[in-house]
Amino acid sequence: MLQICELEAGYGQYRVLHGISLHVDEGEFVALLGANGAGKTTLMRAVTGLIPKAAGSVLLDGRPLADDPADIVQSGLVLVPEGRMVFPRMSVRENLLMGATVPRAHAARTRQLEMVLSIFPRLGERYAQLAATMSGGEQQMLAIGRALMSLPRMLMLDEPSLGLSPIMVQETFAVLKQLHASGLSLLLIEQNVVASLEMADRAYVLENGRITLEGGHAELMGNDRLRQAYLGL
Amino acid sequence: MATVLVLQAALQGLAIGAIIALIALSMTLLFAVCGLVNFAHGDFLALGMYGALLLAGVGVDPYLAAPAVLVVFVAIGALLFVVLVRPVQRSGLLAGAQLTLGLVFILENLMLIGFGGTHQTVRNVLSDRNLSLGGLVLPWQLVVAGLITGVLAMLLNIMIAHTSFGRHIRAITQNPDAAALMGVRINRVQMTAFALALGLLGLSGPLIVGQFTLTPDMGLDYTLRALIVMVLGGLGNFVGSFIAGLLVGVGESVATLFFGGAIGAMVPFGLLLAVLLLRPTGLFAQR
Repeated sequence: MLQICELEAGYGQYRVLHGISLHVDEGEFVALLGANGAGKTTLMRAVTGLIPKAAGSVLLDGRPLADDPADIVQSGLVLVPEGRMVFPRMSVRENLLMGATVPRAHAARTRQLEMVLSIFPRLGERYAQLAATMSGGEQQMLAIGRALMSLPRMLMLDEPSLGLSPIMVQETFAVLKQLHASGLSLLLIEQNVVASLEMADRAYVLENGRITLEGGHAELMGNDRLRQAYLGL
Repeated sequence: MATVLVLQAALQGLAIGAIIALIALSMTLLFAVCGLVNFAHGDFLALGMYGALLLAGVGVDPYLAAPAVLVVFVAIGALLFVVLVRPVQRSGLLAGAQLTLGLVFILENLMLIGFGGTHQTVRNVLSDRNLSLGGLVLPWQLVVAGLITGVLAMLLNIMIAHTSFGRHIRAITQNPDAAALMGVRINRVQMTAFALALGLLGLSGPLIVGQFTLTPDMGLDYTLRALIVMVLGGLGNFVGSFIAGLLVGVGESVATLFFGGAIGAMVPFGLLLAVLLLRPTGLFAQR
């Protein structure tokens, strides 16, 4: 489904990603693990077209992805950005409608809105409320709901557990499992290693702008380096 | 009798306030979607008035000239964005300020070359006609200009608040990265905003030209007022700019009645000082 080949990107002269290659198959749930500063968010910004790629390519269904963020969303690759980035002075309703901006999603917005509100009933209760006045957990639900409004064929999430209470993290991850079960392809970027490995089919480990490990749950949990670096075992 | 005078001044101020509000709103639009403070805003308004002067020379009434100038200004706005604003946009706020300050000098001197430095006036079909209502006497052209700009300002606010284009504008203001991730084509929205903002100036110029004496350097005064209104209303706040515009108009007009023109002209600046001291985020600050 998604294939990233030898991707390099950075800011100005400063290169952050040194040739990232990874892939997510149709219907697969892949986790990308890495500490702060490993390059996770830069990778997401490069894949979604917010910053230019210095080298390498990103393919969706075997076809090269466009450069313009709007075209990328239209083709079905959608990101829930780090820090949620909901529109603070818009209501829940308006935030969700913002998700249905591209033509493909706009045409299906009524049906999709029902679907999102059935996954997140809380958003229905807060429908007219300004996003800024909601809790972090509710804002994360809104960010995911808004991304679902874009009709993703593949959803990427950049540290959705950041700053959430343990209960909200559990709730968020439960939603991800539910979306995975419904057939959506997922790329989850996390520092929360144990929980991510439990949910995901496969995982990559990103360190200093390079992929250093790759494998399934059992493989990675049995890997001494990973256990040392992230679990302190 | 005194109440009638105050009422008259207030109504006159309201009409002038509506004009100022529309100019400030179109300035706010550029600030909100491009982060650009357009110091040449008043000069473009002046250019719109000279456009009416030019057409009046061939016998076209300013009211009929307004739609034509509007169309030309929409094109100028789009062109301005593509040719000048977009290339410097990534270089930050200061580069944008330098660009529009440069435009001030270019526009003022082009108008000086084209139309000369003498004071000129343009008459329209409503010149010298007054609306008498009870004891009130208001120039018809001020009533018409105030009504049209007031309605346009309200329409602009409704568009920003309730249409999907308005929602995209607010999304870019609140978080441009998130807007791009939702599929908003930021360049396209910015270009449309430029065309719309300049178009509003092109429409306003001919509508209000009958009230003013034209000189090539008249623009800066309007830029200043619009800037003051923009800050009073809270930077980037559309409803705030609208209300602040009306406030400045009425305040100046009523103060002029009681204390004379010198004091009246100080009102916008006094309001600005007071607001900056007491409520630096503007009268209608948003979180």
